[in-house]
Amino acid sequence: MDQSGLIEQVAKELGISNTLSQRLLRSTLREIRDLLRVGHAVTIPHLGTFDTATYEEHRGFRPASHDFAIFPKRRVPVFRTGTLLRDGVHDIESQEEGAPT
Amino acid sequence: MTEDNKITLHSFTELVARRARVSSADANIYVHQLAKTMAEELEKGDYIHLYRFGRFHTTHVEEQMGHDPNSGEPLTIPGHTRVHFHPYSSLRIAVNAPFSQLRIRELTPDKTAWRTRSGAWVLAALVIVLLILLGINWQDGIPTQDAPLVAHTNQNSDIAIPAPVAAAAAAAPAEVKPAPTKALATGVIVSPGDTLWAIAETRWGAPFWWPIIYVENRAELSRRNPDLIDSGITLRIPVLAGSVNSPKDTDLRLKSNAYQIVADDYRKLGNPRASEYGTVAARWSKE
Repeated sequence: MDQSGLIEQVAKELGISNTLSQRLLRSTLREIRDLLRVGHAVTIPHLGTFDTATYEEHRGFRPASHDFAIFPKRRVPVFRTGTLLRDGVHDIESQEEGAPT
Repeated sequence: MTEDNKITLHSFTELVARRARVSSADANIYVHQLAKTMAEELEKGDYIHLYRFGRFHTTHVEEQMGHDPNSGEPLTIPGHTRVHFHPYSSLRIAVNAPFSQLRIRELTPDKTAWRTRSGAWVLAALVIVLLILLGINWQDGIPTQDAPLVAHTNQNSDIAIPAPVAAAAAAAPAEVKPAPTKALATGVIVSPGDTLWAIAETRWGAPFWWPIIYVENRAELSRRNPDLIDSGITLRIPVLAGSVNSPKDTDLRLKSNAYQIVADDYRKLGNPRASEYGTVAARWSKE
């Protein structure tokens, strides 16, 4: 589902206009982005937690140069699935192959 | 996630409400409904693409072996489906802003990296252009039969040399430096770096008339070489009947005689310029 489909579906279920739904969705995403930028973590009920993880400087393989390199310290966004959603998708079928975790 | 960086859902919905300019209750309802819709969508096995933010999708994980972290006993983890969030680069860049200036460091420095840098090529092109320009200037300085080079021998500070005449007219004036010459009433004291050519040019404004000065002073010049005159001696400057711009017949005769004498002296020295001077002198004497 694309962003427009999500906007329309939420608008239909809440009985609001699509433009208001779009405005709210965009401000939600931007608020999450801005909170992650300053290092905060945001928990959305039923869905999960948006957080940041900081990786220290480490050595790793760089495919572009076919050699090992020192990767600098970096901060990445991470999403931790909430328990309700994790249980909800646990038994469904999925075509995409994921890495074992 | 630590306790101090957590933000409560209430303050998050307040921020969303302020940004979207709606009431905080509406924002609260919307965030809950959004999460519910997204969860339903993911539970159908679908993906959710959010523009400039990220993509939620589900992946299937095969059955794998693991162990109980408490007892250490091996156990089989059954195959299941889990939710993935793939952050897009705009979100990644925003989150990585504090460390964005850091770069990957190669363990073995790449010796061919200069090929991809345009600055190296620009520098090489500039060097080539410079070499071409220098080469053109150097070509001008190559001594030939028609334009003998005098500038090199001028380095000798004890000996002053006159520049060649006739065909060398174009090249020679650029090479002879106008040395400061101490002018007397009728004579010139030769200073190092001076040439007969330069003296004739400074005194008369006509360098081609230098053989007259040479012939006038030929008795004192023991070398009998127009290219070598000693510095410090005083050269007499002959008085012309007319001027160099409007010469009289006597002046022209003097000039052709002087050219003939110079040609003879060059021939005695074995200088190849002798033939040029001889032909010029013969042509003028016929006229």
